[in-house]
Amino acid sequence: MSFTSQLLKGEIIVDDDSPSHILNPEGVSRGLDLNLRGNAPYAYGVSADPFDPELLIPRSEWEYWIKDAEQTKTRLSDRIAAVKLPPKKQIEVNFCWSFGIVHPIEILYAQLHNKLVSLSATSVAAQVTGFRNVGGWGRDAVRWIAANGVVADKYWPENALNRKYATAANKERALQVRVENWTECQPRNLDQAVSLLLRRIPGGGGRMAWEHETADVEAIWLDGQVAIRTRNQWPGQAEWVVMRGNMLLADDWVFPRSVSAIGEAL
Amino acid sequence: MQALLLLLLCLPQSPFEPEPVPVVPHIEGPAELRLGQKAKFTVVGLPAGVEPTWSVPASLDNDDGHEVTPTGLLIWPPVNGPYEIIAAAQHDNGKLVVMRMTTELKGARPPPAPTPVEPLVPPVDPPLVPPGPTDVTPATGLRVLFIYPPTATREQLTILNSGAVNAVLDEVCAKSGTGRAEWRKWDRDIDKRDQLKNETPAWRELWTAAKASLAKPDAATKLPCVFIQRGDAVSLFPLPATEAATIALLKAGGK
Repeated sequence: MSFTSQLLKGEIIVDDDSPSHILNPEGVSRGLDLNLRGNAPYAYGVSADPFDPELLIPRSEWEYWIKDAEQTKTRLSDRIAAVKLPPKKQIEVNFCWSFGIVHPIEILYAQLHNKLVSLSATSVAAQVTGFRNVGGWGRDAVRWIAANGVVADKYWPENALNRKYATAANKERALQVRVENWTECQPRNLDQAVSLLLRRIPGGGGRMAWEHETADVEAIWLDGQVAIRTRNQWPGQAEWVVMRGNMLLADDWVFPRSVSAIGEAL
Repeated sequence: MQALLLLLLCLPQSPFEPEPVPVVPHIEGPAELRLGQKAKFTVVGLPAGVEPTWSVPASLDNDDGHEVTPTGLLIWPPVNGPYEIIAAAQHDNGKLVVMRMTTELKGARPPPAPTPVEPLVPPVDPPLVPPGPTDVTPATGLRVLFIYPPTATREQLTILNSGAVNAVLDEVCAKSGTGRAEWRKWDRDIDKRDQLKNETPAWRELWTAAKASLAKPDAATKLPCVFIQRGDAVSLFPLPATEAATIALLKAGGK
């Protein structure tokens, strides 16, 4: 009998045929807008760290990697559960493209630096957009964090689109929490994204069919095919979502890979 | 016609009880506040066990400094005026309901006259944590640093992400002043862009020692590896082949 991943508690599966109250529930905020990929025509690879071919894992090995991680409980979702890292909560701001990048950074701190941090995605998006509540895409968020950092949400609340938090002190605090290396996968390139996820590198996955970006956490195996487990930031909706079918592929896949050490700060 | 209306009004009431009207989720709290009054808000009409998430509007129009705590307690500046709050929660088959309520503060000072330039610095800013990290010298216990290459194998990643190994690390490692166990798992390139400048001096010293060891010609074959510090002594080990062997190494304190 072939292997099939176990779903997490409350997890839902999303594909093209999912009902609209699952794909498009009322009252939620999104914000993915790939029309903003710069003035010039978008060109993949304009990033600090494009995909390294050495990291590719052949498709023939995917099932085995997934099965091994699940059976040894060494998935990122296991680490998230062990340290009780809560999901983000995006309310009334169109900044999914920042929430989807900031949560993987929180996961990296828990996984590699043994540090629980809660970071303000709005602090990033607000400053990228000039304090306008508009959409964007993941590379803008990760670039900002690489250059300027991200401040903890105890200093800049998670959904506060407000200039009063853009203080000199918060800008200095943000510089302590930066992305140092990151990889932008080719849009809809499943091999690249799954290879990173199998290596326990989480990333932001933005899907135009959903107009939404979330934190892609790991690859799973369902019905003989790979699927992607993502963590959504809509409060009141399913926290864990499995993407498959045409919803599997992200049009915007950005993976923060290392973050600056923060000692005992935050 | 009048006789017909009179007849209808005189008819006995229906023997059936009216259907209970479902309560539409909404925020309840004081519509008006006086300075010094506790402003507590609650949501009624939600299914049992569903907790709302509180926020204030994400708009510069509401740049008045008011906030709401996770328990629905409004914090507002002592300035007269309306203050809007929002509660969001799941209801009825996954639908997200967003509720709003405005309360008005009276009895405080009037709102200031608009100024042409908005100040960037808020009136109160929490003190900045000093950028210089506080060092922690472990009186007892270990400091453990794993260093890995980006191309670690599946077996190596299993060990590096093992919950059982993490549990042993939490047990045998010294604790920092904040109670954080003194272990880290760093990419071999972690200091390429001065990423460690905010780490404590003890960790930076351990990294310096580790880097010196990794600079030796056969270093590439040593990754992933484990540095174990006990007091002033630092020992280098290749990552053991199994989770059990890694746990045994840690429990032995690197001896």
